[in-house]
Amino acid sequence: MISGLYSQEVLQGLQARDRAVFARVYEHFYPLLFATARKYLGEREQAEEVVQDVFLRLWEKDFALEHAAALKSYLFRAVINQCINHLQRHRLLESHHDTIRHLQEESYLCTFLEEQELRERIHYAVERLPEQCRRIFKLSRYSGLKNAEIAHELQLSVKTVENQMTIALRQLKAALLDPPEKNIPAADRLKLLLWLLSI
Amino acid sequence: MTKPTDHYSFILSCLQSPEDEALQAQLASWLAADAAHRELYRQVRLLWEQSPHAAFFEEADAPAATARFLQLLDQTKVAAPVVPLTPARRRWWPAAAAVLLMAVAIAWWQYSRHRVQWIAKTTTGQPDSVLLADGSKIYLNKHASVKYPAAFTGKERAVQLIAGEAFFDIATNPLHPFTVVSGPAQIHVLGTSFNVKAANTTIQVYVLSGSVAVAHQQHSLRLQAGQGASCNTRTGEIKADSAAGNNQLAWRTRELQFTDTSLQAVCEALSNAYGVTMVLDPGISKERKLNANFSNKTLPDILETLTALYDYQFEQLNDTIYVHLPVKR
Repeated sequence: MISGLYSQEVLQGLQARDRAVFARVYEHFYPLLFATARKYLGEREQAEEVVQDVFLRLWEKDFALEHAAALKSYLFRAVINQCINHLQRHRLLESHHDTIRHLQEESYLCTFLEEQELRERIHYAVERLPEQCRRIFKLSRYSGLKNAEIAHELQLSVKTVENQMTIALRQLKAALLDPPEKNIPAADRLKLLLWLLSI
Repeated sequence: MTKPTDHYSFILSCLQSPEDEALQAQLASWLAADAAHRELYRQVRLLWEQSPHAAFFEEADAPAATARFLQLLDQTKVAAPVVPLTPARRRWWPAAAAVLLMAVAIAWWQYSRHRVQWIAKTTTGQPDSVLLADGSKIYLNKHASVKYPAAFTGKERAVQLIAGEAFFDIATNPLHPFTVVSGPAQIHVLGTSFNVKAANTTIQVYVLSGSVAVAHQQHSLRLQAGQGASCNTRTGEIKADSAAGNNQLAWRTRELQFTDTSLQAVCEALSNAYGVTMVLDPGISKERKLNANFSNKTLPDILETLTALYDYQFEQLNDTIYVHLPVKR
């Protein structure tokens, strides 16, 4: 569905330092790579710098990637390595010792990439929730507030908060985990399909 | 027990109240009853557990970041050696100057765009307060230091407690969460009032109203009104502090309440509230209990009352209080 970015043409564009291809690949992978770096580095500026560095290196040096399909795992791995460098450079090694040990295990990275992709899909699905529902879900899951606290902040009843949370969970599950051929009305299926195509 | 349409709200309350044993028992039997229940629960729980991590994706503005990257690419091109296409020197020299000028302009634009004017406030012998741009207030105890922006821009509001103790009264604004950064620890709030004391390797937090989350790397702890916690900045450990109470705010409120409080704890509260050092005679029992309330009293008044209640002498010399047994005649 996103084969457009895993083509030999894109790979050749990167290798030929085509500015437009770089822009396209950068914009597409930025959220995933940024969120990955952001998990290990304290500030968003640092996380963005790490992603920039990875792409600048691609630009400045020849990179030999044989299979276009491996582009995502290549970039993910490069960002992780750059994070380890950053932590080591800033003498944060000691406090991040366990983190770094984990990050060097291939099996952990595999699971981690999958988790990050699910989180990204959750992010997009949350953005598509109705406004009130979205705000309540974010306060609960992103900011860690209790239902009563959300009710207090937004001047709503606790029951309303609970109901909206239920609606959010139901919609997220339908959008992310239900197989498209089952139980989804044609209109919703079309929407989901368009959404998947747009990623 | 639950209608099929209620499955989601049932699972939601189970996820939100892991401490409710009756509910968890109900969940166990519901799960045991049907494989479809187990699959639904597994999926909803997956979404529930993964969704807090989706928050970082909110910060990722891909189009803006891509624009910044392309700018960086253009600057990298400038940094590469400029090879004149023609042997005539004066041809590339003005062009290089123009390019350099542009690079400087871009760098300046980048710099001014990200610049936030920070203001520092430091107290010495007198407490003081600061009114922030959003209407929030910070009350600083003696020998405290904070840094705050002249204006809050962007999604989050953040200030720094550099040293000492301060009381924060934060204006409610759910869309712009407020964070107090103290060394490696952060305190996240929406709208609330709370006290933070940073000393050596410990950061103490006490909440008067609302609720906050104290965070240090992977650790984090939520606190409600009337609850306190201390964070060890070296190990990152955050512990609930059951002894914390309103007396922690006495440096500002001048309200002290002692209920069956040991002399030891009374001395700690006084030293904290009035910024004095307490020196006790070795012969004095630190466990002797006190029941008393002091409201808006000066330190000499309090010492006089304590002398009467305890039949010990409380004497002040500069910033030190000496507690000793009465001199026998």
